Amino acid sequence: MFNFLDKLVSRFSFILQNLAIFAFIILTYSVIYEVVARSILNKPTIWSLEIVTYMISCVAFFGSAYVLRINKHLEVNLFTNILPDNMKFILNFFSNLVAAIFCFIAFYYGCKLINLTYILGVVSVSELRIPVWIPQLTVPIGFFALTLEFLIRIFRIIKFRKKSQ
Amino acid sequence: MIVSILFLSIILIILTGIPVGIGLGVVGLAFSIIFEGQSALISLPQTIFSSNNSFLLTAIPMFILMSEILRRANVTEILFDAVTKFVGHLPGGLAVSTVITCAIGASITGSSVANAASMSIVAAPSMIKRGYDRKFTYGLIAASGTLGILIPPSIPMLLYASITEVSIGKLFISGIIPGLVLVTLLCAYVILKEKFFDDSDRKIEKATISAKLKSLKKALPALILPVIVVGGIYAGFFTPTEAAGVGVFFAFVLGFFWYKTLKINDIIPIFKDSLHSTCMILLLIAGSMVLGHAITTLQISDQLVSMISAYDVSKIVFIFLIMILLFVLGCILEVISVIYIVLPVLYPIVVELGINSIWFAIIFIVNMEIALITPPLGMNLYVIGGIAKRPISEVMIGSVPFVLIFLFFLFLLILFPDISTIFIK
Repeated sequence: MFNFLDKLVSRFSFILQNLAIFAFIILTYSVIYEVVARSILNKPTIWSLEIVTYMISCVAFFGSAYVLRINKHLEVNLFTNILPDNMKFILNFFSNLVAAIFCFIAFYYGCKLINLTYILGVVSVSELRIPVWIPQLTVPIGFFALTLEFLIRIFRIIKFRKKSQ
Repeated sequence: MIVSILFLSIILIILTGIPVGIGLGVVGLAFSIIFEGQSALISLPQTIFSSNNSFLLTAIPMFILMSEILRRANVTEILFDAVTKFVGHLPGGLAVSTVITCAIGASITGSSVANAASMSIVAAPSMIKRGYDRKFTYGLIAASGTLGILIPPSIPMLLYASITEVSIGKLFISGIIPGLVLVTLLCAYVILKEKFFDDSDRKIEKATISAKLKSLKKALPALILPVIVVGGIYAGFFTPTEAAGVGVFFAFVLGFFWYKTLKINDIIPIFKDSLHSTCMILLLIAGSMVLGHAITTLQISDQLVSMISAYDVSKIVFIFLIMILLFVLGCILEVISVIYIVLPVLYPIVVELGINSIWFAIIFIVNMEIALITPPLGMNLYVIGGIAKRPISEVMIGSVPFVLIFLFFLFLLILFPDISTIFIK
């Protein structure tokens, strides 16, 4: 059961990572295009700045869950590494639980925020007038994936603990 | 009181091994809920969303991408070869060449860790083969690698600018002279050590003029890149993000068409690796913005400013206290975490005391360079130990003389602020 859930969450994080890579490519293209359009063609775009700021949200929040899976987020393990196994287990369990709760709160209230901006019909102040709930979606989606990854970490810690006993 | 509790909570939660960005967010949210109530929960997603909604911060993924392209294109190897042709015949030639290549590498990457990593692959084997002591070699590369965050472009400087709203162009340009002074100090140490304390004969034959010109011709396009990027920002041609975009474009051209060291298959891995480093920084920024929200709500900085005013702390005492604090934090935390924990709280005091924010930024960054080579959490030490597959203690022992040089350099910068502010005057 755990392996199945782990694979499912891994797949979800992987898909989000690929979306983040796609957003990264669009971001790079938009920045370079804007330089060419402004400096060489003398025709600055109206979309570049806005697209770039939306894409960076995609990069940040869609990519984070996969980065957590491969342990590439900044973590200070200096203290936990010198602890006895029992203490290490407790600390790992609680830190991941606290992280999962924080991410779930960000996801839950993120959904509420989107519901509100959708109902109010808020659009961006630029000429593109993009409904704000669309870029805001990156927060709940990204934090939902992070919540799942932290839960998987907790299951993994418990499983490892049972095995070692 | 509340400041101490806040700092203590941050340190404690980070030491549990939680991802630092999430840890900062948790502390920020907890304090906001205690003092603000449920409205803190409602504003959380908005704060997170706005955290990365800045055009300046877009420069971060762009600089990371630029440095990743150049790393994969083996530009460090080309630069090392060219520099060795010019300075290899000096006493301690290869070591001098390592310092100078690190400085040039620093001008095309914004990160010390990336700089140290490439150099430990390229320079360490040649130095050890030539008979340099292992510990000295690793220590030198770890120390010279830290130039990555002092010589522009620098990711920590970008983060500093985004928090303090100091001009990034001025900040970048102010890193150049201190960077060159540090390079001179490191080269002087290496040459003096070789001349007076080492008898081994490991001089490299002087290269012919035609060999020098040939290697220079090969390295020249890579040397133009920092001029375009930093010069473009300072001259006002580009914003930092646009300059980084130009850098990315130029780096792709170098890798694919000039050096032909990149293949089409490299594109996705380049974006993938850059994405991982970018996400790590951006999540940390998101978490620190949640913490920043709490700091603003609780008016912690204002309280600190009044406390400093009440005790009538002089500028110089404040600077020394901060340097000690940064040194201690640098030993247990990573550079970007220190920036995001300390700066939002302390920067208002810097302003209040009338301290030059550019000068403060430079001494802050130099202190962070020391953090990168001091145990137990000096990132450069671990990176080099990992790549060289040698015990970390070897790199740590090798770094000791360089930590002393850096402390001397920091003292120089505090004593003579003009070293960092000469360009902006």
